[in-house]
Amino acid sequence: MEDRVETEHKHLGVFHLMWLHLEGLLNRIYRNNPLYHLHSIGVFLIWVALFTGIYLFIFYKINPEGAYESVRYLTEEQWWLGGIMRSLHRYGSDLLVTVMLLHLAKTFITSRHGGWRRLAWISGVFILWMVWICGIFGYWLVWDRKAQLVALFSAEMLERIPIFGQPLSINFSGAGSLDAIFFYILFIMHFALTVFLFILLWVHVSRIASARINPPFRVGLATLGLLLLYSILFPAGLEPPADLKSLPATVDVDWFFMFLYAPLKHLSVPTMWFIIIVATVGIALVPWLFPTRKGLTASVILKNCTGCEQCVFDCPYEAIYMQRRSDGKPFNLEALVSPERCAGCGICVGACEFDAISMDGLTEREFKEQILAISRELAGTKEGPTLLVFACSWGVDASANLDGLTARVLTVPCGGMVQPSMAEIALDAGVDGVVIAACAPNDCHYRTGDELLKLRFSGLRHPSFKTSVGRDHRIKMLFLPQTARREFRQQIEDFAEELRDGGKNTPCV
Amino acid sequence: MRIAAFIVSAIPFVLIYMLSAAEFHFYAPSDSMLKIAFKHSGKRLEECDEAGFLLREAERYRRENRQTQGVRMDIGILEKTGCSRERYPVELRLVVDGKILLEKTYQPVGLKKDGASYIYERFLLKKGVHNVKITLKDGKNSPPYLLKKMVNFPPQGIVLVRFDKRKDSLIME
Repeated sequence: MEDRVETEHKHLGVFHLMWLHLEGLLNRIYRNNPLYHLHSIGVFLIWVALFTGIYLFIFYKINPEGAYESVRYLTEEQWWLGGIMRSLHRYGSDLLVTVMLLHLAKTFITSRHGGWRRLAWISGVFILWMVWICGIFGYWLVWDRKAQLVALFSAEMLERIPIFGQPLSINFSGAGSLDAIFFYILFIMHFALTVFLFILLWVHVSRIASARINPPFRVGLATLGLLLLYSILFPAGLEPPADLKSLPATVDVDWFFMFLYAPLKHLSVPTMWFIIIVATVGIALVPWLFPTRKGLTASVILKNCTGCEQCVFDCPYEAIYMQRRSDGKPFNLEALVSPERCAGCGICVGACEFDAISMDGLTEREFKEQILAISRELAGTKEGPTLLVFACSWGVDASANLDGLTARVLTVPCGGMVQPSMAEIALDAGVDGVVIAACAPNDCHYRTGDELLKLRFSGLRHPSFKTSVGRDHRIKMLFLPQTARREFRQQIEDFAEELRDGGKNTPCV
Repeated sequence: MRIAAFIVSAIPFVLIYMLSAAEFHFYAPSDSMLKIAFKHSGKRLEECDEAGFLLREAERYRRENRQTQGVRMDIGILEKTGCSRERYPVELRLVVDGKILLEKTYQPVGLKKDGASYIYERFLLKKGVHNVKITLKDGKNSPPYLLKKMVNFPPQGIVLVRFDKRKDSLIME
């Protein structure tokens, strides 16, 4: 049987389940699954592009004649360092586009695009375009045949924007029409856009507490190592120099950045602009076109709030802030929730020891009373062992996978809503074992629920256990994706077996 | 497992190998291009002695400034005297092998239409010899500029037509 805390188990869509299966497959071969770190890998690749770009700039000559020659020197004569740097710069950018698209796909497929995440989504669309434009300017700087093509098509595209008083293509009409000033502008644009990119990244993570922008060391090292290996094995080539008197008929296209130019062979410029605008606006409007269900909203019970700030520290989306006390109580601060930023995860409930947070009216005390009532009912059952399962709404559908076991399920928005005292209530009421089933590690739908759960139950973060009586063997934490039903069932059965045997040597997790 | 992880990690690099330098044919080997690219100022709608007006106003300012303080130079003198700076649009006509490919008017830039007209057009032609005739008209009563030539368009070559100010004529290169 299942009791609900105003939360339903979320039945995930087909694509979401497929994605979880893919992550599950990769979890078997990776210690650190890169699909859990796409965002930080992306930031890491921006740093790679920046540092390699700085090296390339040392040798780059900012004029039409010197630009190509300086790149040729790096590619052919300084192949052992300059050439590798150039390849790292090029392939790192290609990999960045791949990672960004995967990150976008994952965010959408796993329903992480809506509600309080809208700002991140929209800023992400701008970031995509910023990276693309930055890359196009980068190709332009080389001033080879590819750059000539990029210049011609880019100019034709930009001319359609009515802010330009003259056709830009005139600048690429013939010999002598380009000067060093133009290349200075190109370079400044290429570099300035990187600065804007970092500003956009700041906006992208502005509502995420303690955003993880650095990948785990092994992941970063592996990414760099693979990039370096690829750069050595397949160094970036160089097309012949740009010749404004001949057509760049056949060019080695980098589809990661030049995908918009190929259709210009068959489509007109206004049609291309129409497609670009519709696609961009369409992607930006995804949070409204495919809205995610609004969850619960937290609110503070002021009379109980002591201003300890634990909820602020634990909130993954900076939805709680502190302000000076307003009710005259002898505490400096009081907590307040920004409803528009609240994800409804309940992590703040798990963080609060003072019954000062409620979720849509359901207070922590009322929730604990529910736990007590259910636990007493369970404990009164003659068949054992009795289990109380706190099931994360995004994890395995616990109620559908406990047939034949004496268990009751409490579905919570996030495993991070559960604090040790809640497990203690159940155990003290006579339940044999408590299971907390959360999402897969590093894949908590609300970012940090799994981590906070582990820290609290390990005594490394408040709130911790009220008593120090050893009961680890009666608490089981499972971190499994929704697709891992069999493993969930197996682990529950094993846990029940251990409880039957006494289970004194069983670790908590 | 490390080998499996390495193989899976190589997948994005297979994509990079396939997509980062894929040959693409934007133009056919037999294609050639005629480009018309230059800026040209049309004639003034009204001819007036703009320099003379400015000189006289400057002289008045110097004269009156010696005698009194606070005299202002009238920078709007040209508008008051009706000396409009507006220019004629530039009309261009292109005929290749007897077929009219272009017949277009290019307005001068600027809020008061006193800037130059910018012309940029491109036409894909097949390689070989073509009869090219270009006519440029930049004023109501001024004779048109004419460029007429049999031109050999090399494969994947670009033939550029521009206006040479020193020669005061259309040239082809």
